[in-house]
Amino acid sequence: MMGTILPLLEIRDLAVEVEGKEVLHGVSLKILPGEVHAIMGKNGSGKTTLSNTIMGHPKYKVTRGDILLEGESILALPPDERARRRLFLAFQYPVAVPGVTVAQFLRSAILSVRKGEVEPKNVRKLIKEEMTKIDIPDSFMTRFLNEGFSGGEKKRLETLQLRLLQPKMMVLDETDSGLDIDSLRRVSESIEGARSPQKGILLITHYQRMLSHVRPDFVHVFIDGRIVKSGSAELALELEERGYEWLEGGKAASLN
Amino acid sequence: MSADWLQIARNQAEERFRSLPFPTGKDENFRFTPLEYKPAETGTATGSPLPSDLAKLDSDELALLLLEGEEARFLGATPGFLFTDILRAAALGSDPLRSRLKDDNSFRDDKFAQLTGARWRNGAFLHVPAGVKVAKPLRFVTHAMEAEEHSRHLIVLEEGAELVLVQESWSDEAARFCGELVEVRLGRNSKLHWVTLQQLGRNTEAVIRQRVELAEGAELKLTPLHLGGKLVQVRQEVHLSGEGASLEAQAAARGDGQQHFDFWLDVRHESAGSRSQMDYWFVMAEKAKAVFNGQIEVKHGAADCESSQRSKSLLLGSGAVHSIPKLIIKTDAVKCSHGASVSSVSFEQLHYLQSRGIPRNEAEQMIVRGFTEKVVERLPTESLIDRAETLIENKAGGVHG
Repeated sequence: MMGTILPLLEIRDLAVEVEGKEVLHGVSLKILPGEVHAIMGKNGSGKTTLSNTIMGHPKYKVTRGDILLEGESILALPPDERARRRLFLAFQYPVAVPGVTVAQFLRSAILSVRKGEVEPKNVRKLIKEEMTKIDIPDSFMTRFLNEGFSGGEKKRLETLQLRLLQPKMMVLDETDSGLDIDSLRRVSESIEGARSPQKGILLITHYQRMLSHVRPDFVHVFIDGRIVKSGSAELALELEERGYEWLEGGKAASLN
Repeated sequence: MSADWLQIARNQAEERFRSLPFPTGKDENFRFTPLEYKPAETGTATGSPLPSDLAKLDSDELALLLLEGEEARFLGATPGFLFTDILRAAALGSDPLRSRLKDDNSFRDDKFAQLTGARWRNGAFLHVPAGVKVAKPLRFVTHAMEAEEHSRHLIVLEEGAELVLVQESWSDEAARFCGELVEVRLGRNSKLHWVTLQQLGRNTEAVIRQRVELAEGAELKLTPLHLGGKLVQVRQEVHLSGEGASLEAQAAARGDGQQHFDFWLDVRHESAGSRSQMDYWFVMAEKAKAVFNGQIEVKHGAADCESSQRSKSLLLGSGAVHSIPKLIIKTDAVKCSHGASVSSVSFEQLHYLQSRGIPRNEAEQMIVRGFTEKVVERLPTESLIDRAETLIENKAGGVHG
């Protein structure tokens, strides 16, 4: 292994079933430290299946292949253990959990993921500091988790979690959807701020607009549960111009 | 001690109790609740002492009334209004008390209400005169001392009065039967927040009958939290009699073991512009059961009423929740809604919390606990919140369960 860089996230020939139906048909992808990859595809192409499978949602059954985080298979690990290994998924539709306050939730999450690194007595201060940096009002803390939140508020709360949990590998599922221009800018700044030579980012998106704020190193096109084309950031612009139809007929080979 | 008129009222209730048949499983409201009554021998089970935290006046409270069988102890002071035990109020010859108990027409069809009406030993009496706004909460505690213990409470707020009233009921682990009959009368534009923390022992059966009447513009906020008891049936009749009267309730029950809760609600919109909004939250673990019988009636001529009633249940074991909503609407231009859901812990919620590193057990407990949080957060004092949280934590499916 001398001389080779270990990928942060490696997906090998992944096939996934949902309720008995195969949705992903052999996806392979390698993300090295410092890289930003974007997966682009239409609704229903399997993008969210991929992100949920990476995070270990029990509804998605892996029938073939593997997912490795820093060289180790995580398929057998529950989602909380994956999170503690510093994998993070920003959800497209974060669910509401009535009765659990944002403060209580963030505290439990920070103390679970950053155990030994953040002292319980410092948690409150840490949350407050990060909230101030991204202009989240104090009133968020006493609200119930995602309950009655607007689309924009939910995404901002996902961003706050991303900042607080300091993951190594981030999967951002349609983080740009439902955001106005200002919110998009704010969220993009946070993602751009999380970019570092040690970290990896997988952006899952429908449109190119987020990619003009967070420039990817690689773009992959997802159609019918497969990567049909991979390329540089320019591929995103080409998709914006030409749509997905030109790729739908022929199954172009992945470059990865 | 007992006045003649009181004895006559008791005798009449006793006669009605004897003449009414016991409800059976064929009665709609007892279909899922096998309520049995066997007269207990008196003096068979003297109650253990009340836990000290319940018996102490909290610095956030104005006054505390402890009711232990016939005995009553009072702590604190209530300048400008009357808050005492019902026997003492009768001896003082309180007019509102006399007029209410003498010709009591409530729950005439209810065998258990009549039983309590005949045999109550003591209870709380609260009378707040017009315009008196009480800033700090009042609390009363009923402590069952006998194998069969009945209590009778009367709460009267005159026009414009405002108050927070906390009621706690406690019993030890001996087999007991408790009857409770409560009447609440809210005058014009008065406001009552009525909080109940029911923490009866595991072997206590309780039959609770509550009748509330609201005059024009009166507001009732209800926060009942039921945690104890073996079988607890609450029949609650709310009459929104005056124009613009309103009821707002956040109620919860948490059961485990073989506990059985039955909420039998009857909300009557009798005047125009009255409002009611009720949320009932049930968490039933192990073999615990809950029955929710929710009826909303909008009377003829009660236009522009709004009513919503929801029950949400979380089933953690092999118990059951029966939700039976009923709407009777006799007028036009009303907005009424009903909703009931029964679920187990949501996969999606669990996955979301786990994806943030929170272990599955802890995530489950957070979700379960969150279910009753909307009720707990309304409790008016820190010591009451502590008490409720400790009881909840000790429930199966709770933090230490």
